[in-house]
Amino acid sequence: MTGSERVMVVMAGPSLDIEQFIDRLVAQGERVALIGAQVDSAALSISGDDALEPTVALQRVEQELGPVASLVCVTAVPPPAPFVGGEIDHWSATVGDALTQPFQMIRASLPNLRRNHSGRIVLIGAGWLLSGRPGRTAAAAVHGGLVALVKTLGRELGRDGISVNEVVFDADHPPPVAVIADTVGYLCGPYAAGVVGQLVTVGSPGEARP
Amino acid sequence: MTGVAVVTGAASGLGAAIADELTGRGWRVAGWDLNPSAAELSVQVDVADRDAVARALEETVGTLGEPDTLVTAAGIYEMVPAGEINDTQWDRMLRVNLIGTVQACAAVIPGMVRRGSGSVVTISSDLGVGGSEGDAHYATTKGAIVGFTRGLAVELAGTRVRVNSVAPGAADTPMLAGDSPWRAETFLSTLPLARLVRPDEIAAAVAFLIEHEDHFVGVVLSPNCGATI
Repeated sequence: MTGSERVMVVMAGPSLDIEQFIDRLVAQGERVALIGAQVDSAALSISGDDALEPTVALQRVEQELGPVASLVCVTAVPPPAPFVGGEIDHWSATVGDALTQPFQMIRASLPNLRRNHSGRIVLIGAGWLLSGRPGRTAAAAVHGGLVALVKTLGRELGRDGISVNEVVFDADHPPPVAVIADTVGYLCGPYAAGVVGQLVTVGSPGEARP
Repeated sequence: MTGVAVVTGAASGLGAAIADELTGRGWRVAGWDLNPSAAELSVQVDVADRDAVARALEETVGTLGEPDTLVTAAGIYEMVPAGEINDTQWDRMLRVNLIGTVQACAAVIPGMVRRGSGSVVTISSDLGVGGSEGDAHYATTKGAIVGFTRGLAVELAGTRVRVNSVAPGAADTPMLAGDSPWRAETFLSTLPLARLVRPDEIAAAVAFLIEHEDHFVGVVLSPNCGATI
């Protein structure tokens, strides 16, 4: 299957310039369905109420574009805020949403990906990179959780032919969006099926486990 | 070094072992748990409920004094394939494991900061570091605790309040059902030490981090019998 035949679903998030990101993926030959934002170059953009319900959104993608080959979730990076003296309820809600939204999208995509016994899931996030900086407890919690999610799903879904990885970058000093898009393209491409449970760090030194 | 310690989840499993260990070392322990614990002060509280945690702290301070140490061991575990985890299971795991940890920290740490002294040990999991299979919601919450711990450790480093984490491997506690695959020989034989971690080993790791002032900040220590190396 060529890049132009594969359907890549991208869940939009605030940590990337989504238009640049989608434009680059499309220029690589990806057929992109974007959920949660509107970008002209995407083959399909889903926003509004449909975007809030992952199962509905993915059904629309299948109906209009065909089977989904890969799912890319751009995750949230909560802004800096002190923990002590901060708004803990807001902290909890922010972190909870940032963990739950990608999980719900992944869960909704599994029947589709399993049916083809082939698929890729890529999260885009900050990894552990922010966890050593003051005021970043929320971002560190989100991405600690996502790292564990990626590694767990990598182990669990591999036997279904689904490879799960994370593209990691320093949200305080982000690399060019094009490089992030190219890394996603590689991980979703035909030669990366054996890359499983990895944190691929872009623009910064790689990171070891804590 | 001794003083007043709050241990969440002290009624059973790792929390009970940690409370026992600290008591044996001379600490005055307040056990915060939904169920009664054997700690010197047993406070029944839902650690994810901010107001209830505030009341638990008030009772602890009134009875034993200001906490010098906090150990967040309250947690739940279950195995469910990723595609079958429903919203209720996901939310419950987040609430108890992550938000419970965060609420206890948010209540206790400001007093430590005011006094310029204190030690916090979160209980995360080896699965939060290396991932697992069949427990995506649990591993996610434990990974989040690792990230939170590292961030908090840096944020508080200048206050002389130290934050570290113990990330146990599969442990021989009631949290693991008798027929759990973690107890199966097929799993144990993959471990360098070919056995589950004992609760007293985990409790000792917690006590070690608490009692070695100024030497450990933001550490994630994994008694795991070699599960993740």
